[in-house]
Amino acid sequence: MSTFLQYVFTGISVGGCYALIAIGYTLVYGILRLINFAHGDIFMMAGYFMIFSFAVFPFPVAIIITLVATTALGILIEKFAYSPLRQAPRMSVMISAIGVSYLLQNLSTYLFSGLPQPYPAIPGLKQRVMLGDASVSLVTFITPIVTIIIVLLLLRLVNKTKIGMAMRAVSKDYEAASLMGIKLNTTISFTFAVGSLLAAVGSILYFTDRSSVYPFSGALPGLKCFVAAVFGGIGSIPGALLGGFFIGISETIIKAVGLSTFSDAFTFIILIIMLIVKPTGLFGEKSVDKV
Amino acid sequence: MENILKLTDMSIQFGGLRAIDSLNLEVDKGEIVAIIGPNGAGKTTAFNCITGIYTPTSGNIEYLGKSIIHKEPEEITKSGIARTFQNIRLFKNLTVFENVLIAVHLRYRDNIFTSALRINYKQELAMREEVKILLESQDLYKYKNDIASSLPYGIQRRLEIARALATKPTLLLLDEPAAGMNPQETEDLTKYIKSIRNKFGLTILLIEHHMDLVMDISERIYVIDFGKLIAKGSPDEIQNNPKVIEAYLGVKENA
Amino acid sequence: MLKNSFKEKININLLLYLGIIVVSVLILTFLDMNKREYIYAISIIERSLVFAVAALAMNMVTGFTGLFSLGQAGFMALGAYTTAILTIPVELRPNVYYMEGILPALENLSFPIPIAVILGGVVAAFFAFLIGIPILRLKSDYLAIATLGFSEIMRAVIASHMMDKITNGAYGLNNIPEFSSSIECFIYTSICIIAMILIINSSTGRDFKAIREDEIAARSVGINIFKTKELSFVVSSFFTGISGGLLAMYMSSINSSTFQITLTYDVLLIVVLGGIGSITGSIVGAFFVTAGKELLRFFDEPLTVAGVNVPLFKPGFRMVIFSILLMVVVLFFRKGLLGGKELSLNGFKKYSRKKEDKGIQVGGAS
Repeated sequence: MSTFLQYVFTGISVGGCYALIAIGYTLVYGILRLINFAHGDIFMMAGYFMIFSFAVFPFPVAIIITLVATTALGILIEKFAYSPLRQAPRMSVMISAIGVSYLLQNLSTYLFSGLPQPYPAIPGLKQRVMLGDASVSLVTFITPIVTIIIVLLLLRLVNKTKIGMAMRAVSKDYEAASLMGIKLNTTISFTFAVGSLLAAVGSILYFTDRSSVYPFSGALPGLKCFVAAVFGGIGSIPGALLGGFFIGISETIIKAVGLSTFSDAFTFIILIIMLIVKPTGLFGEKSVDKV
Repeated sequence: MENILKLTDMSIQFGGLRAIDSLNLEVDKGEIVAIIGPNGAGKTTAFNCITGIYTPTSGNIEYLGKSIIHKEPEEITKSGIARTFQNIRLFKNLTVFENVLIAVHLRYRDNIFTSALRINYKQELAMREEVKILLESQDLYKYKNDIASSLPYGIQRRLEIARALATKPTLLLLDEPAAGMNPQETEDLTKYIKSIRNKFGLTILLIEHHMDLVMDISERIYVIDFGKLIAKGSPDEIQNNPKVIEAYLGVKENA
Repeated sequence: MLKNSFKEKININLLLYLGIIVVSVLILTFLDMNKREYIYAISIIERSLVFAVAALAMNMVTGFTGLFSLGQAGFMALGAYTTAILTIPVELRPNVYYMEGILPALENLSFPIPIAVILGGVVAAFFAFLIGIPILRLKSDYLAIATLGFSEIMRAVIASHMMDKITNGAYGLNNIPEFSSSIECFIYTSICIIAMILIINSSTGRDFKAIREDEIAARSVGINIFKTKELSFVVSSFFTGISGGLLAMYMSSINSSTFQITLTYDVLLIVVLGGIGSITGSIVGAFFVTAGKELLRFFDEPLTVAGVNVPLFKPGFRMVIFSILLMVVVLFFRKGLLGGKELSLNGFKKYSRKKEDKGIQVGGAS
């Protein structure tokens, strides 16, 4: 019973982190129709930012530095790698995204070596709490709560504010939105900023549980979170939340039954099934191609 | 007269929008028939239904007496209906010659082994010869090595028609062939459409906004507004139909 | 007249290709004869050739058919494992499968190398056929992620305990027969490359390009886009599988981590640098990237000049260079480093014919 509880909590906690990353994919895809292959690596870089800032500053400052630096990284990537390709074929932009991912992975291997670096223990988060017989670290509880709060705030931002309205407009019709006087580049930058900020929050929660970061630690979680976004219906924030929790929990269950080798493969099986059965995902909208 | 195309009570619905509402339309062999109507009336949607890109929600489409309602676009092309598109869809980065050559493929049997190993070398030559003749007859042969997207707009339109002709159609659908053309070019196009009809024994159904062209060229006209057929008849009848004047021509004349 | 020019075009290119083949064979024979001296060069050439096959196969589906497929590593894994299982010498198999043993059915199943390599391609093609049915109906970006996912699934399956008796699970396979000479490698790879060039330049290849250019227009001229996409995907995967088998021979030992996403990215790097939709580009790109990675190896060694460590030189530097190169090409040279030009004598011919045409026109006017 206690191990079962432990798995449930782990699943929810991992799912929360996945949800935060998945939202980044969903926002960017919604607005640019681009799978931001570099998103997982932004998440990985956030891990390194934390390690290095924590070594110098007290933890509240380190957290702020991590959030700011990751957000800046996301905006920079958009400016340099994606915005010059606005008129280019979709495949070029996707390759550019893969290129950024490749660059970030290789750059961090070069700068920080390929070896895993220990992730700092942020005071409070790592504390163990007893829950009946199960011992669970505090971060396991904090993650889902933080995730849900952030999603509620985000929904408010998207639905109630001016910039949120601009985001929705751009994702509906790029050209019409810019004709209506919406500043396209600002809106896109803002979207990347929000996505990266969430990835940074996700990274703090995720790596606290994992205890180390290495150059490829963003690759697989990144892909899984994209699957989560597709599962929930790309472009939909509640969808990404649900997808994140679904992938996180089912992955933990699969590990629990002793099929660890398949836990990664499982995500992709879900993806392929979902794409066949309902390509628009749980909450996605159907788009009609104009001939 | 032999009936080539017949739409019976054809309707199509997108979500809450009824884009076409019980459209009845007939085209006889050898005719040039025009569909006119204000923007957004559902003309192109009707073309997309006929060519299998959309499946109508209800009603029927018969081609040569057979229903083609559930056929894929490529099957419909193979059965003899070719089309052009409102916003020109060429194979942009391929040459003029290749654009037409690809359209010839459907009439030749081929598979990856015979084509890769050049076993049907003679067939390839026959296809090329056919393209050459077609391009020459359309006065496009001089552009044969040019990349399609590099051509002037008018030539691109003609290339698109040539590509459609290469499939050897019985029925040709032209979606706004004169869009963006000046009066002189439109006049040339009028002659051109008549000439290909005679030369290739075609039946032509076209959508057009240039009234000069429509009135000059078509034997019969269908007028659609808000997805509904509001009038049909000869050019004279249409020009004098009060409903049409109200919905469409009236606006045009005042402008 | 048209007949003649078409024939001429074929003949003249044939001559060019034959020339390249003869020169390559001569060079490789020389290298093989002095194997000791040139072992490093031979190794680079073999690796380049294998990657040229993989890159051209990827280009066929991605550059010529417009389907962004990222499943290369998975299909290479299928080809590599099939080839390895069927060619590891029977007497060495107990040593290779020392942990769990080998499936009795496979114990004595052995094929000559060329057949095993082709079977590797067939297995990859078969899987491509199966997964192609659902995923080729997807839009291009979903296709990319679905094929990437497929590749990861394959890797997980290969590494799993359930497959221990077939793939030797996480331990991988070794004692795979190596190329006896660089000529052997050249023969296999050049057959594949020529076959792919023939396909791309055939009427089938033209259908691929039509789909890349405009799917709706392609359907409007009677191309069955689903069948054609499936064909391109299956054929591409067949050659990808073969390149995997050849990679297994080149490396002589493989395990599931050989076939990570990075392998797909390596192939993609070649395709992009050489030019998407350029045959010559993929082949030249394979040599450029493979040789480049080797030549830049010294960047990865710490360098000390006059007792001072030069700060830039440390492990990983050359991959950073390649990453930056990739970004530069994507952003500024979208047609690749060769600018989308193909190696052929037609370029010269076209030039001279244009002159001729002008002459005729002038003549006609006067």
